[in-house]
Amino acid sequence: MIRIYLKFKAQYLKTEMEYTLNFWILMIAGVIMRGCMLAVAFVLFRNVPDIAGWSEAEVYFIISLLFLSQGVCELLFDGVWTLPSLVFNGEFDTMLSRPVSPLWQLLAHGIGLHGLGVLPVGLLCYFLSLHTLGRIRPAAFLLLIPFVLCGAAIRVSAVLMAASTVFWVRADGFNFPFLVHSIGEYAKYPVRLYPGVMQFILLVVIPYGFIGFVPALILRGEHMISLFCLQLVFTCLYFLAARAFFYHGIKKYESMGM
Amino acid sequence: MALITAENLTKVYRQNIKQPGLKGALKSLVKTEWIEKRAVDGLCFSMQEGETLACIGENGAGKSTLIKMLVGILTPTSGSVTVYGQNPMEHHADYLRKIGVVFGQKTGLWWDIPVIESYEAVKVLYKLDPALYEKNRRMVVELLELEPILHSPARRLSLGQRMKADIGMVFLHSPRILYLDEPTIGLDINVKFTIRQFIRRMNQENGISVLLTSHDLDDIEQICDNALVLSKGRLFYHGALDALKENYATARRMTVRGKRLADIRVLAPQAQVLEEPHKTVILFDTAHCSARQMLDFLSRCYEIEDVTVEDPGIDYVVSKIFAMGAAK
Repeated sequence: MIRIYLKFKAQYLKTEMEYTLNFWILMIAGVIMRGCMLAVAFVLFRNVPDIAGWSEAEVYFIISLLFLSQGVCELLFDGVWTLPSLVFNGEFDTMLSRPVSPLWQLLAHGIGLHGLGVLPVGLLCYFLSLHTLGRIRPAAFLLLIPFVLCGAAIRVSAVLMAASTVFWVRADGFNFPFLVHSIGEYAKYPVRLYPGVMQFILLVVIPYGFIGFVPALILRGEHMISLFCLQLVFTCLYFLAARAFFYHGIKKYESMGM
Repeated sequence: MALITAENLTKVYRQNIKQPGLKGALKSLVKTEWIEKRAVDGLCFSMQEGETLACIGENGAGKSTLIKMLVGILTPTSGSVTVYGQNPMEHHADYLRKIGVVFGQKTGLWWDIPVIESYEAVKVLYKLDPALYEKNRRMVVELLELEPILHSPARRLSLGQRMKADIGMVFLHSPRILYLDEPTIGLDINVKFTIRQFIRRMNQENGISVLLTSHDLDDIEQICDNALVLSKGRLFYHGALDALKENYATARRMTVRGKRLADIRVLAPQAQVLEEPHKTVILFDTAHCSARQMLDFLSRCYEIEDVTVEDPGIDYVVSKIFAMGAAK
């Protein structure tokens, strides 16, 4: 399994390396885009001391986890984004005729190298915010891994579910995954700021709140253990739901042509 | 036990009908009308291990749909299909490891990397034993003359080169069944020849079962022994290709040179006779008059210098079948 995955990633890495200019543009764009997002928060906090009791460093902490999980996703699981186009150009047929699970092949498909540009920004942001909060402790290092992995799993699952709707909708140029992703990005601010419906969306439907906001609550020390367990369990369940939805969609797959 | 068994296999596509124009587009937002298209309709057939079966039919007859159901890409709407006694839709890795699939219109190669790298990826994907991989790779490279293109990325290959590389790729894991959906579409005669010869050889030497769809009737005649004729999703004929020709290709064409002694139309009133300056062409149906009988008539009516007999080939058979299907 892992060998197949690595072999695939190596293939796509070689593919990307065929286009070096493209690689550097993506890299730089990755860094600049994250910089802009941070700049917005920075300007905001020059004008207000805190947002509903959340300090500037805490917001950076949330954003850093959004960045890190996104970087990991782009680098490792960028394939989910390509599902609609694979379905439209018929390449999905090839995936279904190979002796490896279609989900695993999809995750192994493609590589988003701009993830490489996002990761250092995210890491810097993570440790700077913890430093400001005076919470650089071994736990901060240890928790980084489960936080980022859970966040990446939430992102992959949400995009997978959105992309799987292609099996039913079958409309060209349709970008439901991007819509879901854009809504999810609202979770870069503490979810409690939003009205009830939005909180429900960001914690259950497109639970990007679990990527940064829930870890921030854990950092604050509110029900630390139970929240951490909730995060792990919820992430697993959400992933399983997305997986089930994807496999259900495959049964509806109509391929192209007759 | 049969290798493939299909019982009442049916696939219905639902397509929404859009009215033309802006008004139609707006209307379809509110109310969607669906039309059902029966791509494969109540198909029953079986195929034995080692058989070479050609799936013949006009465009949209359901050939590709059938192959996709056999591979496990499409779920049948109703009916059942089993291959090796299992439902292909269950995506069993053991089943997929036993089959090789080539879609002539797509490539399984990775677009931007050299062919050899794609082959290496297949080695990992199918968890191939290195010795077996090495042996198969050498074999396909030799028989399909792939050496000069192994180190070029797929996007730089000509259509013919790419197809050969694609076909070579599906043999790396020693498949037992080969599904080929129009493997020679758009290729030149040399490449077609190499590919046909290679597939036939794999069937004869290794007993690989082949299910092929093609519009190229030479492909069919040179690769396959049996035929499955589909017309509008329904089974029209299933049996030996030769028997198909005997049953439907009953027309013959005889060309005679020599001095005319009498009018042959008197002896064979159903034959069509075309008199040309230096020869006479006679078209007739063996159902009415055997070739031997016709030769006998000819020898009475002409001082024969030369005579040729041609059968019209599979092209004629297929067009005749389609015409019959359309008339029904």
